Amino acid sequence: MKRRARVFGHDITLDEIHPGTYFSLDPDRVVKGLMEGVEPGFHETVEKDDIIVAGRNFGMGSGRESGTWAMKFAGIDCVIVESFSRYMFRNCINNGIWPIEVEGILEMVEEGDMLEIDPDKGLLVLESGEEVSFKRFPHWMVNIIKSSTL
Amino acid sequence: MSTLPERILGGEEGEYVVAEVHRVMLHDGNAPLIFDDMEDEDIWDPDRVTSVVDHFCPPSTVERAGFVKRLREFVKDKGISDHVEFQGICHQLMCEGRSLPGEIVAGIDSHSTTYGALGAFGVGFGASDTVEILKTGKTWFKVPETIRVDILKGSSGTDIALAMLREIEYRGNYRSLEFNDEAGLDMDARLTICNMAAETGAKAALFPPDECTSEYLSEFGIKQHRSYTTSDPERCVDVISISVDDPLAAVPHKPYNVKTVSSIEGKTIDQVFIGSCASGRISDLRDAVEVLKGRKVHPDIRLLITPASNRILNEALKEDLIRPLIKAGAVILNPSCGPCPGIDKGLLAEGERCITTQNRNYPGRMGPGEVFIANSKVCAQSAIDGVISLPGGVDET
Repeated sequence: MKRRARVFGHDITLDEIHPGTYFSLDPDRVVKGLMEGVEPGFHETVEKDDIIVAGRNFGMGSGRESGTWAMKFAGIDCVIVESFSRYMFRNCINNGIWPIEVEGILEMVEEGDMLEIDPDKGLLVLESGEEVSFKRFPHWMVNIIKSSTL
Repeated sequence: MSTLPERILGGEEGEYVVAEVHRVMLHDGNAPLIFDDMEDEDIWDPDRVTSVVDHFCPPSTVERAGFVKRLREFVKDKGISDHVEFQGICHQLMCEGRSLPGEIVAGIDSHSTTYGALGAFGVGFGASDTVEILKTGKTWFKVPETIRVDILKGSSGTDIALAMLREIEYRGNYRSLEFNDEAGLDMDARLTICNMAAETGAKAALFPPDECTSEYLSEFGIKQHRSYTTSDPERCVDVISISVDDPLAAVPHKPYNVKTVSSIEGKTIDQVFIGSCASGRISDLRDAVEVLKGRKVHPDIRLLITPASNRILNEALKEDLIRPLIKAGAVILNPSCGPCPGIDKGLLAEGERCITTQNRNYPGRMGPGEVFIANSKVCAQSAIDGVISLPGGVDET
């Protein structure tokens, strides 16, 4: 899959990914809260086939799944970070979003870069054409991710 | 020799295992995310589920009133009898006779680590994992590594928790914390520490059951419980020692950005909040009264206080802790999550500052303002002075 990178920093908390005031069951409302705590107006610029790239501890803090829902509703099906909070990792799996961990990813990717991602092979191709491998997911986890895709 | 998570979850460190949970906690703040998925599903054992309304408590928008109404209908439909509405914060209620040592207690909330104060493997899950647990009574875990925390000196749960956060930062992620209490802490302090352990990212945070645990459980008519020994120290990935001498504060915007209160004294504030699932227990209220009795809250400050449960509020009334707080100018809110998660009452305006006993100060947590975290006495003194301030006589405590 070919995706455009939207890049964020380290230690992005769930309260920033999806501030509590946007908690709702209305998909339009939920999606408006996406990344609103770090980049206000992000929901207006996010496009289907965009993915999120970030640093360490992505999704730290709250386990509110509305943040993961907001990504799903925005069409995001992959997140590449240095490391995930345990809640974000599990919530991504259960919502059909590939939670990929790549050490030093922030040094490899810039905002708007086009990335080629193959989760089955554990392969990421950067805009420069450079190939980076990542740990493949166990089969049972892949089954959950694939069966949860919208 | 094995570690505690290995024994409780039944597997080797690093291994993926499927384990049965003993009890599940749902609350109105996250339960709305499971209603659709649970519509045609039965709960594996409705008697093992507790449902709490504490976030939208009472609800402030029509949409949220709808969530609470749906939760009420949901518990009736699914046969859940333990539904508690507007009586306290879920994590406090789960520690009032609902969690036992050695049990795996799954909460639909990241602060479910709180139950570790009672020796339970309290662990939080998102909504989709909770749906699977409700259907099957089981879930998968990666058996975590253990960080041992030796608590050598200190009495305030908030200060010990902040000292721990300063040391561990977010390195508790995917790990379990295990406390060795050499400071003789009371249960209130342990509850605060296990609650704030969530900010290290920890999966669980355990005080192995001891006399303090037995004494506390007996208040709820629980005379017998499981006992277990600690993890083999050689198997712990890290051992950390905590000694607290001076009151500490977390400064914006991370709970582990910790400084001494004395280094930030004089900073102006607009709101003070004593409460949340990290605090609002009887010892926090006693501490607040000790500072505020016969004094007045500064005219530029609003002081909001939420006792963590009706049981605690009742106890506070019996001890006559509420009247002096009201006389000083405090606003007593009903037992609930209150201002902490920024979804109900007590939000900050742009550019405002709050000092609080709550667990989180992430950007946007309480609205657009800045949040500082400190113990109840420091919060109370700051409410009087209108700036961040150390309580008098702190050296004697």
